[in-house]
Amino acid sequence: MRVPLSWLREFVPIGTNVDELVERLTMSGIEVETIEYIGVFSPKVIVGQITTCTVSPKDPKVHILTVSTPEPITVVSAAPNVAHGSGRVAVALPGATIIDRSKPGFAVRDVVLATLYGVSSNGLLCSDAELGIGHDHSGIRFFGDDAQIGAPALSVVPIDPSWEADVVLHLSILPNIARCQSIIGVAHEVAAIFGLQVTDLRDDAGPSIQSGPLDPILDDAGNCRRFSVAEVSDVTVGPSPAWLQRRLILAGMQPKNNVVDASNYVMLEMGQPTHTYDATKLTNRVLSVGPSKSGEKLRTIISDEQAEPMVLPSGILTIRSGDDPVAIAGVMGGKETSVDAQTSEILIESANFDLITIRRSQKQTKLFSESSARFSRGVDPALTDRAIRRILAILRFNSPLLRVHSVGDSKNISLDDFSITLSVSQINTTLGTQWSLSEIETPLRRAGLRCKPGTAADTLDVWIPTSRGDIREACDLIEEVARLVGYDRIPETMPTDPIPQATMDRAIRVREKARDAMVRLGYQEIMTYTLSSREVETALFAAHGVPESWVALELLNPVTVERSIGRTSLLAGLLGTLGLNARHTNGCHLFELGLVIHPQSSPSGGVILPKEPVHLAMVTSGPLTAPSMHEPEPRRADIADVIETIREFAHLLHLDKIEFEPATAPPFQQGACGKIVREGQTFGYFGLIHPQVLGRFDLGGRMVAGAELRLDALLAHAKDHATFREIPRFPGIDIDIAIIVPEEMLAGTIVTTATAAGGDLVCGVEIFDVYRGAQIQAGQKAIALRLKLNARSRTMQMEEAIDLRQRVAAALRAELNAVVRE
Amino acid sequence: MLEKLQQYYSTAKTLLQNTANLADLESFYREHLAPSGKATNWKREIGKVPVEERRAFGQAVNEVTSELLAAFETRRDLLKLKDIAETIAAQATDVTLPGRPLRVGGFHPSTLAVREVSGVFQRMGFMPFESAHVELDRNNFEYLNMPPDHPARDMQDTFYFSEDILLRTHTSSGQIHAMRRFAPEPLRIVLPGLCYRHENITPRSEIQFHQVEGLLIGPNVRMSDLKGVLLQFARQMFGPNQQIRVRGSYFPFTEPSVEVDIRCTLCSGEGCRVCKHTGWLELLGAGMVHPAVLRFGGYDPEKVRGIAFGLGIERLILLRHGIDDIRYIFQNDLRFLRQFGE
Repeated sequence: MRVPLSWLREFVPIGTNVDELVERLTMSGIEVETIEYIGVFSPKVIVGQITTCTVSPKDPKVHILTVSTPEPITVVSAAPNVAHGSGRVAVALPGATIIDRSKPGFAVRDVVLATLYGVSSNGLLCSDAELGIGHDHSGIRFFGDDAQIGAPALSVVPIDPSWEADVVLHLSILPNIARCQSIIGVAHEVAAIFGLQVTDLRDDAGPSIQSGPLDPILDDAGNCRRFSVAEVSDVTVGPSPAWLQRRLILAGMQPKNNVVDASNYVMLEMGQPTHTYDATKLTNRVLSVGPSKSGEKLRTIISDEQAEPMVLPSGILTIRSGDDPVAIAGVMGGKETSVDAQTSEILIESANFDLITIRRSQKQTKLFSESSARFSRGVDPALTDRAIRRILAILRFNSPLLRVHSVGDSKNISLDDFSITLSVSQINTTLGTQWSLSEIETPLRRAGLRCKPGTAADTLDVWIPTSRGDIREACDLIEEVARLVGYDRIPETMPTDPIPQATMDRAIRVREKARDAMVRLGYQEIMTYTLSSREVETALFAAHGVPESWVALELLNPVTVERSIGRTSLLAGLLGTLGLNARHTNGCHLFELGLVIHPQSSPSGGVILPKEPVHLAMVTSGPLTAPSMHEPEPRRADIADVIETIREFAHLLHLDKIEFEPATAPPFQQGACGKIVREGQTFGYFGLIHPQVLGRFDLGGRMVAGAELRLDALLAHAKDHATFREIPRFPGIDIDIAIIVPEEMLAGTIVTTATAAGGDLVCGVEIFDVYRGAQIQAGQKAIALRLKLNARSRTMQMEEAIDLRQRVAAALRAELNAVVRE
Repeated sequence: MLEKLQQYYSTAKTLLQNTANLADLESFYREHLAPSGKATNWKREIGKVPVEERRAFGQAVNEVTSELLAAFETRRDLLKLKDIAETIAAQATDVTLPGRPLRVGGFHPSTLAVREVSGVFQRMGFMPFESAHVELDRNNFEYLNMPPDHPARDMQDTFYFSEDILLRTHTSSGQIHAMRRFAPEPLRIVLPGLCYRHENITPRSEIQFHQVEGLLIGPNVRMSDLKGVLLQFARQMFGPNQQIRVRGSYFPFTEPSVEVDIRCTLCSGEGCRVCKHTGWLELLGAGMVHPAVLRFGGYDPEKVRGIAFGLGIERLILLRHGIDDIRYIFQNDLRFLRQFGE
């Protein structure tokens, strides 16, 4: 909503301090988005002193001047009087907005740096007309010698309400202050804030608009709450008066003709949208309101002559004359019945509609107008008749002889005030204040709400007029009081209620520990989008084929196809990120912890809430540290890094019984993939990413190891604390065994067998070498094991160790068919 | 004999003085001073000299041995010092050369900011609570006092999976879950998490962002508590002299609704480009829980009141680090992420 202050001042006697006005509006909940200063109000229009003046070599009528502001600037001027006068002038600096005299009617323009007649001009010397303080445009404005150089020009001229210069506030209108979508609405707000009186519109002479022969027929559903009309003849269609046109332009609307302009002017002023029909084009002047019928068409006022009329969505609220729709109720009128240059008989519609209905009409027709912007947020139903009277008053400027033939006014709602009882203690306990009854009553009265002492002591009955649709219950009134008294008057306290019994979710705490663990393990956390695309998510299956079971939750209204489904994995996002970073960073070791979206099938086939398991995924690729003079080619990450990361991660999270088993799963390559198992349950997969998958992520030719874990499922098994194990106090013995086993034999099996055979004295079995080559038969491998032995309560003896070694060797031979090398 | 001893002594001393390092010294020791060394062997000679000379010779042998030992120790200390000096000389380093690169993990800046913000509230007794990102329309809107076609829905463009399933537009949807789980008990929770808005991705707008929301419900909760808690928060986050400014606003789920500003962190309130010359920066939206929301949550608004507040984490990050493009946050360029070094 754009509010020219000259217009606002007609209704409320605001001062000249714009900053204070803006500050107070902001504090009370009306956000001022921008302030437009026009003409002399612009702080960039200042007093300057001409110091030098030379004639342009290119045009003898043009002068090139140096103007002290007090910094000297060069200005080019074609004004005939520059060489005369006191030399004190009004300079508009770049960024100032002045009134544009090169266009017919009212227009403004921004002053910019410009090259004129080959000279760079750093400002513009203004005429009265350009400053908006008079009509003289024959030459520039001179000030007296007492005008201070560099001061705003506004400080040297006495402010006059007849000026064209103005200040326009651009207000952002939140849904609860829909009433401020009008000048008078803002005036009431300003009055309430500053404790000022609002000057009401005079209800000019003319018939009252009341029930009559033209009473419209309201719709059965009651979505039209009130409908007033007036039929008027002897209207002359032509341009509106200049002041009216200027106000429309300042408020952001384009003047058309006096009839349309009057309707728009009243809408801006009072907040009541209206529509005028050419009465002779209506088949029936008794209008009705009802839903559109299937297939009905309407050419709207904004549509092209040539364009096909729009097919109305079925069931939207329309205004009808006879059998035909003549307007989309509250949104837009029809072209066929609109006012044109020849019109002299008009029918003015001033109605009130249910806001939800208008919102649906907007959505269905995709038409938005100044009218629907107001109806969709709620308009005071008391205004319909007054708006018609105001339009008539304005039309009389051009058409003094206009006559009102007939009127009508139908309504299905009450326009009576209703009351809410408010108690002083309720306000004070809610706000934490100690305000008195009168401190509470004053702002309410200023806001135009009638207050009467309630029946109980220290209570107030507050009467709510139809103009305050936002106030429905006591809490709304408490806000009104707090807002107008000022939130700064509420003290700061700490809550006195005891802290409730802890509701800390263990899952959150453990999950954050998991994030910490990954960072400790040297990985960089990333956060990608929860929304992904089918293409990216299924790229993980590039080598294995998309399984039939793969489903994703799909958006009905994506912004782009890249963000059109809920991600089903984290690895796709990680690989994408790796692909982006690989262009400039060689070694990337990344993890993400977050939810994935797994749709659930519903028995009825519709969409139901999905599962949102939290996953942890990691990728590691390239040098483990940055190359340097110390190590020009650091070791590069491989699958063993991921294996140890998972093992160490499990340790940091106090997860026991974690085992790895060979597996085949996308997006990992055959033979370099494993699964993470605990007590027979699989919690995720790891391995080397398949080259075909890497190709899809711009990572061709690289080695990338990664893993994705079902984190929340896994963490359910995490212990809260580590289990302490005694540190051996006596020396132990390490003893090695070398065996030859078939290639397929898993290290895990060997370790398990050795551990079981060794018994209590074995506190660890380590594989420290795997050898394939010349001395070993093809299809076989030599494995070197180290048994870490400790008797805990005494020093381990060598004889025992040798015995144990024999026992373990025998078991490996018997159970695994291993050849033990002596 | 004595002569030979003297000769040996001077030879051994010369040898000792000629040892160049600790290794030479070690072999000298083995050759001369060890139990089977030459100096020790002279002791065996004592028995071989005539009795009358034995006492004097014995004394001479002892003197020679102990003098050699003393000379050996002096030499050892000297060579040790020399050895240390050599090691030090060999280890001299140009300390302006680059160090050896380390591999250090790091958190995403959003994680750091979410933790910091919710940490402040946790210390005031607000416990973390989380709920689903994919939500029912009623939990995201209806139960928060936004029935279908409510004007406030214009304020939040929404991603829909079906007519009634959507991506939550705020963490406030979690308020309903928490209230329904704990009503009629008092509540003091903080709800951190991702939210989603149907927008184009531009330097100023993103389709996802983190919110941290707070909710306090109890029989004695007041608007002044909201101001107290938020002042406390502002001071812990932005410094002990911070001030807050509370101004009117509108959210359908709170009444009264307010915006809370802090003194501009860049200009300390003098007015600058960042605060658009107002001296204040918008920090968060807040208010007292609307009675309708309390009812939807299973509370009796006659018996309890609530305060709620919510702030956008990424906006805070941009502000704090002077970042002018929100797209950096979820682009995950390592050259960006590594700057946060925590």
